Amino acid sequence: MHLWAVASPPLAFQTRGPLGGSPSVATLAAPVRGYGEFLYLNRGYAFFAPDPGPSHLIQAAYTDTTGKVDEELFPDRTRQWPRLLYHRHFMLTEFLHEIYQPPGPPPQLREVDANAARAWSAARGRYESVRQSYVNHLKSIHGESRDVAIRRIEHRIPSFVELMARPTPLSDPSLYGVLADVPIEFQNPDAGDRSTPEVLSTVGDPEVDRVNQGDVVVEAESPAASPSVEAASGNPASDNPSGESEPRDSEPSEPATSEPAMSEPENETQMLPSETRDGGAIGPTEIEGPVLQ
Amino acid sequence: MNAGALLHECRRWFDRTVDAWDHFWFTPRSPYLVSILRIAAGLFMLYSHLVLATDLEAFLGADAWINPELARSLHDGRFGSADWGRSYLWWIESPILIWLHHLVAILVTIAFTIGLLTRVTGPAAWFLQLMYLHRLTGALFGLDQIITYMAMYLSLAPCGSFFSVDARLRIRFEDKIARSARWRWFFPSQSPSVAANVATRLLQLHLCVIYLFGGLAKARGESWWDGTAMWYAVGNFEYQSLDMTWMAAYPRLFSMFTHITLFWEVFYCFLIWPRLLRPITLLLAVAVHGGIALFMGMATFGLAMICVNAIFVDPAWLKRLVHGNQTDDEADELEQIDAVGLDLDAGGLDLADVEFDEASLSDSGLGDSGLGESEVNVANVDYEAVRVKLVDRAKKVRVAGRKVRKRYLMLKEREKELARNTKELERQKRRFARRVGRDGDQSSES
Repeated sequence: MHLWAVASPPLAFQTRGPLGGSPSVATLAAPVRGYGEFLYLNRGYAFFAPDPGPSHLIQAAYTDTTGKVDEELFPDRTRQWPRLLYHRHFMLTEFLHEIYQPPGPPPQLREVDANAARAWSAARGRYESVRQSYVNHLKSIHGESRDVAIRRIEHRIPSFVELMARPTPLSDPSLYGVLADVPIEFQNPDAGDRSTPEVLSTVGDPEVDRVNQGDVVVEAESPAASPSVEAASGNPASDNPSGESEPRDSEPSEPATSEPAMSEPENETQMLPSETRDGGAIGPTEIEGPVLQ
Repeated sequence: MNAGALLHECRRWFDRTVDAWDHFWFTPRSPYLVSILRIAAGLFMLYSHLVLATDLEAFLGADAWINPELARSLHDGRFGSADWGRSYLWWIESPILIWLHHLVAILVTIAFTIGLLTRVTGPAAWFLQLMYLHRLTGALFGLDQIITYMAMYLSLAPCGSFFSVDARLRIRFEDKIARSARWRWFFPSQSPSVAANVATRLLQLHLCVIYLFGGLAKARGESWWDGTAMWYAVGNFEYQSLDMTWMAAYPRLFSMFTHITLFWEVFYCFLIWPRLLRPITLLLAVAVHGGIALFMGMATFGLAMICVNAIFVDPAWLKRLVHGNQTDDEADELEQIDAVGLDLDAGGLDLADVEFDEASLSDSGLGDSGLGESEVNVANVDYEAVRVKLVDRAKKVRVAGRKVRKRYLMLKEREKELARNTKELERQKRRFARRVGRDGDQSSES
């Protein structure tokens, strides 16, 4: 029974597709599910898989009563030491990205698929609760009187071709991009316009990946509060960041990738500050106001 | 082939399978290796606890990154799917209690590492680790998984047999241990045990599952096939501990590493079992995880994976490596033979009993094949009778082997005891001689 509980979670994880998990594997895994979950055997073991991808960080802005803004990037090797402590912070920022769910669900989705809409709301609620918990933690450290805002940052990895052509350090500000928190417009495939699904079928196009994710990559600031601003794009090579995939935690992203069509967000730049929008079912955000300067 | 012969073949195949199954799971194994792994797992858990202590409230406090209420709701189904991850730490918010709990966790882990009362501290250290995992959702990674699994399997084994305080206590409480089965369980002996083997096998198979699915997950990614995955791994600034971007100039190099890693991981579960391929597979494990430890900022994870791969190392070989010529090859060989559970202390085994058993065994005519001429006549072979006799003989041989082994181990124990006593005697003699010398000097001075 124990070996059954060891092998079935990664099998269930690997046999999951756009329509959900394999019914036969789910049935096979069901009897030992609770046992495996309690013993922390419910892992996918997908280290650096399917592709090693960009890192996901968070940037926090603290605004005091005079309007002065301080910024901090997590994780930070210079402040979190030893390395294991830094890595725990890194995993927290990756976790926030991993459970990200765009605001929603779109009203049309409720009509088409009520279950998917409920799952969307729950996943969004989870994301907002985690984000709020991070904000509360930072407030408890920096003082309740300060406003705290956080946003997700993606640190793109240049391809080796790119690096050879234009040698830049991996910490170059141009490689950082802000992941905005914007709603996704739902488009019913039966409604008529087929152009978007065709675009979505293109694999490996960063623009399409960006639309699929529902995140908008907007003008990036240096994580070290550098004033330089450059447009950044997503890493076309991969989308898996953390070196560890957890079956449970990857669930929220499914609605976003399995929906029939999603159109491009309307305006990329107007969404800053990235994490200031309400819209989740649970855990209303406190983050309002300050834009990271 | 007639039906009878077919049935016979099936039975033989079934018997062989059952024997192989028994051999795989229930052959007693020396707890030497699991004792070493206990130290490794304990040190990793201890390090993890100590690092957590540097910022404890940020991870476990009321205002932690993931606060206790949220940690609970991530498991109880409030956000969709519920799971059976449970931790009492979800209900602890008082900083004093958190610190006290953490202190207890550290002390228990230290006790486990040094091998003090491992029958209790082993499961306790594992349980505490599990409670932390369900509390620290979101802040975990591969290291936490692997050290928890190590602790889980080691809790099943007599991992306090070697290199432990328990081993010393066993000598000290020899009399009590000889009288009480509970004490014998509490302070496990160094003789091969089935429990050590079961724990070893479970960890080995778990490791195979980890690598198989880790490899299959990679095989779904394009970069693991086009050879660029290694570049994206070493080019990740947040992971990197040494700048390896020079590799950009050598695509052949990093693509080769990528392909080797992928194939090694997918096929690990097959390559690790044959004795011939095992060293190569383990060397690759050291290379891959050593690379992660050195270049990708996960020294603890890389080292933990190297340590856990040692579960495939033969304890006898390891013992020879550590102790050199002091270890008797023959004894190691004997530890590997197929014998049922043996505890020298159990039942107050006496050398005279063993000798008597051996004598009666020789009287039973073990050397005789037991097959008459008519039975070996090919034309009239009674397969069933031959089979029964052979099975009977095999049993006798096994019993004889077991008894010889018992006697051998008993003699070894006596030899060790004698050596210990001789050493002690020598020490006392020297001490006495020194004292006599000192007294003589004092009297001559006075």
